[in-house]
Amino acid sequence: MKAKWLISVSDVEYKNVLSILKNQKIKVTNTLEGIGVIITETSKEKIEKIRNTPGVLSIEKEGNATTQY
Amino acid sequence: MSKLQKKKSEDEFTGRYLVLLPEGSDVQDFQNQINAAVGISLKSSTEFENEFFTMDDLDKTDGIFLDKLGVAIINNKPDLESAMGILSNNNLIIEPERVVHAINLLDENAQKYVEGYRDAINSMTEVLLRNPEQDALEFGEQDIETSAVGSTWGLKVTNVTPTSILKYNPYSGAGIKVAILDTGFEFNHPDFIGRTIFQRSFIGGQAAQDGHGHGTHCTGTACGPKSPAGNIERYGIAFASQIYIGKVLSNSGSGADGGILAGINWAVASGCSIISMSLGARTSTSGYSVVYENAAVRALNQGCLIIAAAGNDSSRPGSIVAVSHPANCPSIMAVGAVDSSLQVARFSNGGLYPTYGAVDIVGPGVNVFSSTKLPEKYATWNGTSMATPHVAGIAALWAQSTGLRGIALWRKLTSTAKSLPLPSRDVGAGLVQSPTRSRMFNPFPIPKYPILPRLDNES
Repeated sequence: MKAKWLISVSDVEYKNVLSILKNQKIKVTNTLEGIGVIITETSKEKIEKIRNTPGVLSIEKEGNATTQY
Repeated sequence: MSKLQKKKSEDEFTGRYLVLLPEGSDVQDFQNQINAAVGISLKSSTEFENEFFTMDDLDKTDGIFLDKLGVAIINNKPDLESAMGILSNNNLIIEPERVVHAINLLDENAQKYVEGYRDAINSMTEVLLRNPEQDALEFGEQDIETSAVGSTWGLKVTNVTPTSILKYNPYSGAGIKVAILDTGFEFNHPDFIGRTIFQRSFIGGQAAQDGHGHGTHCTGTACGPKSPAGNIERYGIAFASQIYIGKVLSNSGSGADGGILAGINWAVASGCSIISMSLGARTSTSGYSVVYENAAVRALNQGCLIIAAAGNDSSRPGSIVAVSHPANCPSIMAVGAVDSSLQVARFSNGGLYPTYGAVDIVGPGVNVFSSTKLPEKYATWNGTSMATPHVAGIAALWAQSTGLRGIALWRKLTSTAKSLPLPSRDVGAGLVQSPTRSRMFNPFPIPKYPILPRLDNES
């Protein structure tokens, strides 16, 4: 089951992490370099493999938000 | 004088003198005095186009008199120092001109000092350059505005439209870019005709047009007009700000983190100083999102403050729920809600953890009137969603009035908030307050009666 994952990445390793994701054949759905985030779509097993990659600060499963009224 | 002392003196002073005339002095008389004492002839700043002159212009003269300030800058000449001594006996304030330096990489104390110095200078400039006729005009305009159609209770209690005649608010958010990340915007709303609005949808298959109404309500509070169409009370705060609409919530009112982060990235890249996010998700686990926290830190470092709703999950007094995601991130300003009695709204979430998830500030969030999608056009709603754009709009006013951005703007908002006699768990620093200016009234003319000598036959 594929889910979307939010990856927080350090500035200096941003390009390197992108390249590693590509090598691992992990689908990148959006790159938000200004705020240091890469959004991917893959399985939990695959995403866990890159958790210890240098420059990866955090990996979180995408959630939802709603209006607050 | 030792060499070292001389060097220090040369470093600190330019050799020129600044002379301040007493208020109401005759400028020609002053020019004559200067000429008699030192043998120099001053130029007036009014002789330069738009009263703008350069240091080269100054060097070509004996000195220049700053017409609006009543200050003369006098170039160094032989015997000038002794001549200044003579002039100082004639009610003139004379100081040697100092060399000033740009200050980089301020630490917190230095920054506060410089900010205080700047505020004092701004205040002095305001008094010195005040035009009584313009003040009377501004006062008249505001008086008419509040008495004819008024403004919402939220704008009054936050001093956006001060209720005291001793204060007025000249700030509009002009030049400040404000992003509203929400359900989009009603682009056909009559109150926003003529406004330039930048837009982007991060919801697949849906345009930025607001099919819900929530985004238009929040935009209305933060950036709505000074004078709405028709006989409608004022509900908008930063009425001259530049509006950036990022649709990150669908027309049903929900959206994914990926779209919200993409909206934040777009707003930061667009140079927005403020992002208002009236959205959230109840947290089921402890801790906060490190991804959002890192994103918020980077936004702050780029001069962009993210302001988000604390959430509506509480049912006070019995149940107080923790601040929602993503407002629970330490670097995102979490906004709680109060009602018109300045009591915490029963639904407003609270700061339950010592190291994160605090309520940072509160805004008006009960019975909030603002714009919404057509055909309804206006609506009165409740929620921390409604409190958040009050803080965002006022942040734009502070950004305009002080030039502060990022974490410095955050500190300005919290340090100027009105303290409330309620737990900080619920209200943080207190109720957000807009910058204002004080009115200067000319004193009433006091008749001067002659003091007559007492006559001997008076009892």
